[in-house]
Amino acid sequence: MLLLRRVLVQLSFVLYALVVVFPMVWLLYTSFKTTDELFASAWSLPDVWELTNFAKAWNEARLGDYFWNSIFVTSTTLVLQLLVGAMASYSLAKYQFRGSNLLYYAFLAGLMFPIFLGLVPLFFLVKGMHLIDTHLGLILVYAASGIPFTVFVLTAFFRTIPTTIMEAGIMDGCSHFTLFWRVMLPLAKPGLTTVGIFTFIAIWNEYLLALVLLSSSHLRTLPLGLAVLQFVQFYKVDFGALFAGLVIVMLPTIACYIILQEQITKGITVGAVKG
Amino acid sequence: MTKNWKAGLLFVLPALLLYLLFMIAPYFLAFGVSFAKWRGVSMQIEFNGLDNFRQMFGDPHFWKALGNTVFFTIFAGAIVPALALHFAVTISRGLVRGTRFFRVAFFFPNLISQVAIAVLWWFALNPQFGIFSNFLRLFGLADLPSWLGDPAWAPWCVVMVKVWAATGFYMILYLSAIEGIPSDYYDACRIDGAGEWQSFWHVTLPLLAEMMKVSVVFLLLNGFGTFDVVRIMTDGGPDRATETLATYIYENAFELGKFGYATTLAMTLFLITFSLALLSLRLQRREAVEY
Repeated sequence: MLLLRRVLVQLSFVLYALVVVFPMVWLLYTSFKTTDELFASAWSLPDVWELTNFAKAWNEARLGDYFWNSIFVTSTTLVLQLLVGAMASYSLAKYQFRGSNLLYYAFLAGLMFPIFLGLVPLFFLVKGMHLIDTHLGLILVYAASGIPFTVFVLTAFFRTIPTTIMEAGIMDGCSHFTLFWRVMLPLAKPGLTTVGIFTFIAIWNEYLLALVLLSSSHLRTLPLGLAVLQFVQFYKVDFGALFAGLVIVMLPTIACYIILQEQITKGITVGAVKG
Repeated sequence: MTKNWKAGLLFVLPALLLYLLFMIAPYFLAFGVSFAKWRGVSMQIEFNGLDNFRQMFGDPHFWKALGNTVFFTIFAGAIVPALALHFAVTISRGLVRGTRFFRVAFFFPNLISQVAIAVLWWFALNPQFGIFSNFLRLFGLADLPSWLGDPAWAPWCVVMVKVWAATGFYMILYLSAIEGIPSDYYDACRIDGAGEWQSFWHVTLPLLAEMMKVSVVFLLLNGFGTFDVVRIMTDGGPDRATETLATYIYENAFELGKFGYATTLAMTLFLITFSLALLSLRLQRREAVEY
């Protein structure tokens, strides 16, 4: 009886793992098949392992351009959000001024508001600033939307760093900024890494804001490009490039996970991302 | 603590400006716009009091979208924690082999863009070459529905994809909480002769209450915000069978140009989510446990 239960429990894990992993494996090898092969058999492996689909997705469907757009937008957002967020967190944790507590909670409130509520006004605000349909506009909005999470994690982090380190710095005649840049920021590295990983994954995968704020085809990020590609390939009945495109979108975050697995699972405990 | 308020304020300023401009300002504007008739083209805003809300209550598409959103939230919100809890408890009690692999594998979907997940399942649910139909055919099933093209099946497909996408995250979340429970508690249970089920019921579950509370709020926000997956897989169809409040808001604002009405819908979405989140926090209020 006990054995039977153990077998059933193990089985539930194996089955669910299959449900999760098999579609991805199927996607991976199907991305090498031609559309004719796909229609002939859903399960079969490709006859020849060629990169034709990938070349088509990368060049013709311009996913190559979108890939670099995504790299640019994601990395710029990351730098801006981490710098600005770390400065604010440092101040909220270590400086005392009127209203600093209120500010802290005002930042945290941003975690509770759904993006859809402000979507329409945001669109017109960005348009009014002539930042609509620019990468800069998207980057500023991304960085702003990441500030609550950054402040939440980093303020807690800076609070754990002893104030005596700061006082010693000030005695030595460090300016406030040098102290932050040379001493505090390096000490906050583990916190910065956690926030950085989650921001990277979230921005790399983001769809809704990019959809609303970008309209020119040459500015598209990867998720936008993929969504358009789905539409185009459906009418062409050419799925090979779309399968390849999916692999191109998924690969970077999965690679990041495999390298930084420990930190990601730990990070969830620190302050979970908007699931 | 340093009392130099000038330096302190300077450090906060850049973040504060960004946050006020792109996060707070839109939310405040939304409150005003939801009471206005606003077709963005003319940039003319005409306040019309509660007209938008009156229109909404008489709009059958709104009720359909609300119903679907509730459906997705309830079913995904019940299946995800149940599965995640089963996996987390079993792993933490050492009742399964290959823990390391399962932990990594189950989390994979959380790294992929919702767009990619939606396209992947759009393929997998294709009635001709998709693995789902072909898998069922292996067991001799024929006359299968067209899944995403069938109004009766499409909502269930959305629930399934949402479960697929989220379960791993909640498993890790629960696992981290369970691993924080001191093992003495379980030892005491064993000495008292409690079985696996009893120790789950009387130790694990009560001590997980805090994490459960958090996860219920997450699931609510996530369920009511369902957009990417539906937009890509079905675009709300067939025949509005999978339309959610979020896709309906997007359609009104950015496809039909009814910006005022879209914001009224967004406000409604916000009020529902917010009050449900508060309600669930209140209902689940308990003393925090410290070990």
